[in-house]
Amino acid sequence: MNPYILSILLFGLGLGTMTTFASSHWLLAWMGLEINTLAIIPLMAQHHHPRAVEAATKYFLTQAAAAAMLLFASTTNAWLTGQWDIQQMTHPLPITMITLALALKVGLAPLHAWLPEVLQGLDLSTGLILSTWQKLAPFSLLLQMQTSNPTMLILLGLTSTLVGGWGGLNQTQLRKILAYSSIAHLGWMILVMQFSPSLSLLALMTYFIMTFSAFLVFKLNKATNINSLASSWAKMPVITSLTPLILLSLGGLPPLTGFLPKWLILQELAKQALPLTATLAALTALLSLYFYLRLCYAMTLTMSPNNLVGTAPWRLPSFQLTLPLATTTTMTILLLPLAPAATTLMTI
Amino acid sequence: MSLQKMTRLRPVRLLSSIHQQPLLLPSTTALSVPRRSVIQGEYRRPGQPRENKLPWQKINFDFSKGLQGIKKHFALLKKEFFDRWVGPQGKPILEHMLEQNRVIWEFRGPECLEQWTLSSDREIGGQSEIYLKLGKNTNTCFLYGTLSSVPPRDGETRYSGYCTMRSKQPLAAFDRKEHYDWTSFNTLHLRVRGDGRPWMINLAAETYFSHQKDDIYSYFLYTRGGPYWQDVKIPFSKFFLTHRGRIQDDQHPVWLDKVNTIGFTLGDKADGPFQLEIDFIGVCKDYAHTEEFAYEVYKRNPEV
Repeated sequence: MNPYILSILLFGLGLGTMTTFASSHWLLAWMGLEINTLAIIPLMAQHHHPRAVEAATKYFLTQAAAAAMLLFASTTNAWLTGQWDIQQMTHPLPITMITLALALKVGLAPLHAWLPEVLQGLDLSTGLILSTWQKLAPFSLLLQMQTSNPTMLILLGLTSTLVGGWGGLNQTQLRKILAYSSIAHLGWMILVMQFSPSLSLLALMTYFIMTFSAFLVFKLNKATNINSLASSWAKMPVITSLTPLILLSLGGLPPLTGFLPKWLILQELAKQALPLTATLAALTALLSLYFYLRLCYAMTLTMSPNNLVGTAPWRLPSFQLTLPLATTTTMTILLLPLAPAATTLMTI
Repeated sequence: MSLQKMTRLRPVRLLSSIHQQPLLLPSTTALSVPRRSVIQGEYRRPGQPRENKLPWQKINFDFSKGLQGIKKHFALLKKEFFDRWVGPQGKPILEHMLEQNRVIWEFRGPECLEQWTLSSDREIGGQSEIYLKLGKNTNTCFLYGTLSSVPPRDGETRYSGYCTMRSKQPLAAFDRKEHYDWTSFNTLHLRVRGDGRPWMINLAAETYFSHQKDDIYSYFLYTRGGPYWQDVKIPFSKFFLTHRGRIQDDQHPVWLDKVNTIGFTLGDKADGPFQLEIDFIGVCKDYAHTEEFAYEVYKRNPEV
């Protein structure tokens, strides 16, 4: 892509998210979300492959519908309560509608159906932007809003963890697996949002780091399905030995970083007298863990039948920067001992 | 008919008469004008069967068939539900990883012929014929017929003469579309025995927009006549994009994660009988084939 256009689009993405972060008026927040949507559409469709165009169209339709619902809900709130402030919403109907609109924006179940298909049609770098950066702006709005319907948030959260786990079981395409993992993690974040918004922010940040490293590993391997990932042991053995740690961190196993948000969320849910919710969430996390383990198994614990073991396959050197991968992999694996510091910093 | 006459009719006929009533001119009677002629358009394309039935006469209600259908669909749904526990696409992960060859279609019995749809230019009024039957040892399928490039005389078709066999779209429970996932493979492998005619293999992938409906990825299959079987291996990177038979400028490799149908078309302008015998159609992974796409990707707006 023309570097000027690429930089305009990336700046547009940054501008949209920053606009939403800085807004206290619903219209400005909506504007930031729309800028985000419009800036990423050309990035998605840049390859002009029919599947990329299909993904861009589906993304645009869902995000535009969510933004329209958001606009409608904020207008309704202004009509009912007379004010546009994000943090001062009191009427339950607009709050519910806005929560559902933002759930559609980020891809929470039961409004998740677009996410696997859209991610599947994109290349890995655009998919990374979609999974990470595009979640920030709606999340900031969700964090600022008052909850009027605690049951709905818990239901959204549990459904997301369940759907994220169950849906990922059948997949062999890596991008769809990452989509379902995104749905599951977002479910965990929503579960605890009404009790401790800082915890959900922590969960979001750790999810970002883990997803970043996962996407970058897949990009380095140029792998889009499990079988092509399985031949990475011959090409890059060190990364192949570290990737199971990244995947298990995504699955939430101690002593890796991914355990931190899950542990604190379960603790918070237990403190809020929701032991059944906590149990259900932990059990559904097992489903996600199963497909992460399957990826680990395919990648490291089996030797895939490729006949090019002895001779190194002819490949051009990769021009991908390895510093982001190195940083995020280290953070994915080693951040759990910082748990006390993380808990003291959570003062929101 | 006047109002008095209409009220003396029995209810069923009353409905028919209302159906025809606004269509008929006063001078013509009900029998000389075919029914529904105005609603469906006056012109019937030659080759289309004459449909003289009224809508309610086409209902074919069968209770036992309905029950069978319900059982079949619920069985498929249950299978889909429990397949997830076995592994992706119902197979254990090791099997999925170790798979290097997979036979997708083979013709071992009459029920395999149900998976294929035949068509020829008879549908637009031409004179080609195509038939499918099981081969002599019931191990193969035998596609035969006659190609005739005489165009139909409807005033608008200039060329004609094609015969094709296309696989039916695989369906999951409740007739949802299912796709073939061939991402672990990179070559199409067929065993055919032809009569020397050049066929075209058409792969149709899943599309989204309605104007992509006829997007088909094609490649040639040159058969050598003779009693010996021919093993044909075509890498998927060789398939080029066509739309309604015309090769597109904007080429891209076929994405194998959602393949719908495969088809064989004969349109080589040579009138006469043809035969093609297919043993099996499968996909395989050729590790030595590293080509991603065989054709140059057309660069639009090149920097001058």
